[in-house]
Amino acid sequence: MEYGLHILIMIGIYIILAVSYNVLIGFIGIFAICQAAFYGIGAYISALILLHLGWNFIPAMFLGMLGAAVISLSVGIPALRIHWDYMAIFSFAFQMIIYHLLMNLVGITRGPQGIAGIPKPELIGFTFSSRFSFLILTVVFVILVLVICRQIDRSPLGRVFRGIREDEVAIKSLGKNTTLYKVIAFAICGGLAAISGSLIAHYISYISPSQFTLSESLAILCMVGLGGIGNIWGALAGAVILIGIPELLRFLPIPSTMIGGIRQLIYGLALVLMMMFRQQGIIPERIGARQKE
Amino acid sequence: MDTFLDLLVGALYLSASYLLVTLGFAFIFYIGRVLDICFAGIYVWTGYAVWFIAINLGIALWIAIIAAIVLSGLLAWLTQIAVVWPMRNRGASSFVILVCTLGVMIGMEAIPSIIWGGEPRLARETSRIFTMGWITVPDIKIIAIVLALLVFFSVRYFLARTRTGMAMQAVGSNAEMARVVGIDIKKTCILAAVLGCVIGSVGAVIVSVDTGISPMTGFEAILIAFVCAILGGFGSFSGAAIGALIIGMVRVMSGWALSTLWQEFLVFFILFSLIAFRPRGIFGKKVWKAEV
Repeated sequence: MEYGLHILIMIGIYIILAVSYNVLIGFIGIFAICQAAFYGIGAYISALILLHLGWNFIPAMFLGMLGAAVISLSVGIPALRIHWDYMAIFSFAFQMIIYHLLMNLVGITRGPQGIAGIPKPELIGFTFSSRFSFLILTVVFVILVLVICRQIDRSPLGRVFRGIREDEVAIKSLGKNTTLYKVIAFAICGGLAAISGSLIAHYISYISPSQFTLSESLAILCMVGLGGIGNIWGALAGAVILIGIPELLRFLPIPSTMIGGIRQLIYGLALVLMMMFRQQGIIPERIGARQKE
Repeated sequence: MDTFLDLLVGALYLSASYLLVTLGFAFIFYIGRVLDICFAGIYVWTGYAVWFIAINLGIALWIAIIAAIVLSGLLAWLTQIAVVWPMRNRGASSFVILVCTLGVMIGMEAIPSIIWGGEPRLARETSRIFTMGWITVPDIKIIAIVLALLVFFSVRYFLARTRTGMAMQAVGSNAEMARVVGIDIKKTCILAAVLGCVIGSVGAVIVSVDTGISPMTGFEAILIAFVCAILGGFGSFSGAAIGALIIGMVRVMSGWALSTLWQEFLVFFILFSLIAFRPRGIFGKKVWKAEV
């Protein structure tokens, strides 16, 4: 039962990551692969604020979101001038820079040792110490993120995002400042990812740079790629499948040392098969909604 | 004086192994014009093949090396005809191909991880040391430097003087015109990819013999290749070599002047800054051309 709750919490955290990443890669079509960097920034900022300033977890999380959004400018602004093909590698570079900063700024982040002893979240006197209560908290944030992204999807902002993805010149000719919209997209993606960062910091009470590597970003890419680029429910489905299935593997007689590798193999295969045979993913972007407009 | 020579040899060695990986990547990317990350997966498999054949099967090292390099060529050909070209023929965007080959790399790197775990595997138990005058250096470093120079000048000759090489430059610079003139694009690109993976795999062999191969080595190698290629200028093979030389020097000097921790950071910071401020690099032209 405890284990089931654990899986659900992890699925929730990754749903937030996948759905927010979908805003960048699915809605506005910027092919950056650095979600784990924003995830990590959110985690570290909220953890450090909690431990050093003793604030409540909500303002700490909010500051984490702000920090991630601001730092996303450093990859968002150069991105405006970069050719599509270079964007992926550029985002890899950004991801690695964040990882190395987390590892090397030992004075602030305690480097490879990580930060331990992060307290459980507290709200109006109630502490979310039990796994079940933490699951409820996670679900609340998942719903929040889903609502935000769905609203973006259906709003004029979402339409401009999709327009930029399809034909940027046309959108520019309509007088829209595409630069601003791209920056906003990055900020939304990074800010929402930071929510997951804060959640994982509280849940495991320990964070270290090794949780926020390029492999993690690739995993999130796999989730969105599998589930469906451009569709919120697709991203959700991708997260559920790619977190759920490897966990089920634990019930099979496979040595635990192999599980990491097998998980990786599943992710790789899922990505390859999807890209080769069904690029739109499991749940494709709905054409119907666009035609209605 | 000792330290200086040590650092110099170290830098040249690093540059040499970077050169091999960068040239390999250059062949795949400058000519095929598609970011093919399968290269990283093939790199890892080659390194593991050397280790497996030499250590697990106990066969002589040089046979293992040759077998591994042949394997890499085969894998390159396989991934090209099974993954890359079917997608190109269907008109897949370069992003989809990139992501697909990323998936191939993830899967390929997973397999040695499952079978042998994540620790680095060394393909040779002991290394022979040369002592030349003031410095003592493992033989692999000298071999690597010599090999890299050989490969570089062979590549220059191949591209500039042979028909196939010139065809490759043509395909990389302007595929449409190349087709008009009668060059078989698919064959040329596949050959370029095979050549690229083989050259890059020599780098994998060196790593496997010297520091040991682990599942993540492939992706690290391709990131380094990218930094060197961008620094030297996309499209220029000689630029790639110069980029590799500079990055090797930078890495060693920063490791000595700052701490080893910041080495990696510096390399990625250079990559980041280059793409942001001068994607053209040193020798890149404003219009893309694949050239010697």
